[in-house]
Amino acid sequence: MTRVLVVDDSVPFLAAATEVILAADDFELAGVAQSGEEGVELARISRPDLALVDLNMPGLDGNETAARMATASPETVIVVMTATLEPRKRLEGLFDKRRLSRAALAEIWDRARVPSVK
Amino acid sequence: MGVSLTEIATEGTVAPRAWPRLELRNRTLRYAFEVALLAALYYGSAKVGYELGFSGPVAAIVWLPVGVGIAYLYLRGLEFWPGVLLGDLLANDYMRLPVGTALAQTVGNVLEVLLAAYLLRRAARSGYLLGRVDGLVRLLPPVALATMVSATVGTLASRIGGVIGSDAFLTVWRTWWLGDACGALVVVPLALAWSRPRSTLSRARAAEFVLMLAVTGALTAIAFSSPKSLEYLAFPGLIWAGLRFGQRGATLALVLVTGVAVWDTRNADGAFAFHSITHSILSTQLFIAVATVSALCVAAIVSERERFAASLEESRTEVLRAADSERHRIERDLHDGAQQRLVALLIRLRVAEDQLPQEPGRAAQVLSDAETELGIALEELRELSHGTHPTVLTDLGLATAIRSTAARASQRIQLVELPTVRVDEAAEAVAYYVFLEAVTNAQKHARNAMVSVRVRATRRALTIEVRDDGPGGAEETLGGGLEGLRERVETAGGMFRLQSGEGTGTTVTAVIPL
Repeated sequence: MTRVLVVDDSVPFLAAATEVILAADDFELAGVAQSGEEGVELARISRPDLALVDLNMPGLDGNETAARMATASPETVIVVMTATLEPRKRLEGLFDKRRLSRAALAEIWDRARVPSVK
Repeated sequence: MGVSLTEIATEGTVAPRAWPRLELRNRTLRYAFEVALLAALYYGSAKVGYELGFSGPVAAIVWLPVGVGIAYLYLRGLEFWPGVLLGDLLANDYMRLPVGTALAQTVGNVLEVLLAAYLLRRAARSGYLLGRVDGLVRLLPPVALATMVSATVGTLASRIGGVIGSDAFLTVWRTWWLGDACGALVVVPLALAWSRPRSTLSRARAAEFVLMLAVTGALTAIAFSSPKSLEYLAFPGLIWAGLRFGQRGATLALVLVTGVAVWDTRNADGAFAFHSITHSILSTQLFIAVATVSALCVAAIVSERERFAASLEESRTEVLRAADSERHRIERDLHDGAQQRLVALLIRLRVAEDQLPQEPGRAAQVLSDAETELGIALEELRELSHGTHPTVLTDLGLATAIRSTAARASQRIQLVELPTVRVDEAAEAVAYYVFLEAVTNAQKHARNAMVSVRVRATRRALTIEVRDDGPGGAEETLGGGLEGLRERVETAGGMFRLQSGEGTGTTVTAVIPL
């Protein structure tokens, strides 16, 4: 089972992401956090396999949270996501929140486990 | 107790004892120097004043020393008055006048300068006197009053001393008064304007300044050397000075005009050279007084206009900034609120779609949750659009808008008092915005609290108070809703107050001027 941590300041999104993870067979919820600080702390404690981190958050933003989380829990695969409507942001390698589904979750995880070509 | 007097006395004084004494000596020296300087300036200007008179000291057309004395005491401090006394003792004609008369005149002159400087210092407490028309209005009475003192004392002393006859009393008093008043009116504004920090003129402006002075001087010279009544020719120059160069230009041009006018009158040619000397003097004095007040008025109005333009520009920037921050707030609200909810909804619907074949029961539950989410998202969008464009408000007024919003709010809202009349539309919009934001805040942080709303409209202001009995502890954060609220109220010239102690609920009050 792949354990997933979700970090987002939007409660509706956390609830929806929880639904997706609960419905997915190979995934289970490691925790949800409403802020970057809380997310880093949860990652340190629960050592999730995968962390989905929102980019736009008050306080620590997604990038900063990801950087700290990488130190706090080095094995965790971290994916920064955004729901911004600007197409430019999507080119920067961020995951589009709107695409979240069981299939997308599996796809993320598969791609993360493929050894890097470099 | 523990601390002795010596300890208190020596606490913090590390400097050697010689220092204060040296400083005192310096201060005494400095004071003596300034008194001497003032005496010299006073004496010098008196000599010029005598040159500008006809015969005898009482007939000066423009008595400059009074202006010099007032300006010095006004700018540097009343304590330098002995300089005036010294200067006057040196300047007054103690050879020809009876000692009592001369002494009384000196006392009158010193009193005049002290009184004027004192009154002007009081008048100047509310701002730079030359910079506005009402400042100018406050400048004139002290000058008129103080110069009357000298005229009265001096003329009485001359009469008692037998220097003038009783038939000349009124004429001498009038000449003395107007001469002193003109002296003060010419010199004091000059000193006031030129002692302020100056901004440097560009080369072109400096050239225009010189040209302005030359033209003004030439016009005045033509006006006063012609036997025809052309004295009004000086005014275009003075207006030029006031319009383009403010107080500095006006005061300098006035000195020029006064100098030329007095010179020509004294040499008994020009417009004001009448057969009677007193008539000539009176005309010249009145001309100087009128020219001075007019030019200073022009300069003051220009200053006022510049200030208004600057404050208008400032408030325009403020309005733009407020509009900008409002736009950012809407963007943020859209992004954090409705957009996030819709994203979540999309994801939920996808979950339901996936589950539909195998687990229709769970899918139904997810769909029902999604429906609720959609309802909330719609409500948020509606609130947002109401916050930006309250059509109910513009059509039906503040009271109706608040009533209808309260009726469909999830929060318990008690409308304690609402205005029965409609007031200014912009003020109503601000008040409505305060109401919406305060209720939204209560929904976020005090969901179960009772919100009470009180709106009162008087002739002067619209006051709105929104109170909730929730947990309190609300704070204004940078870029937050409450700060946006304050900005909006203050942009409308109103007052905003937030009271939110821990456990005492939150009260938001706004007073918007009408």
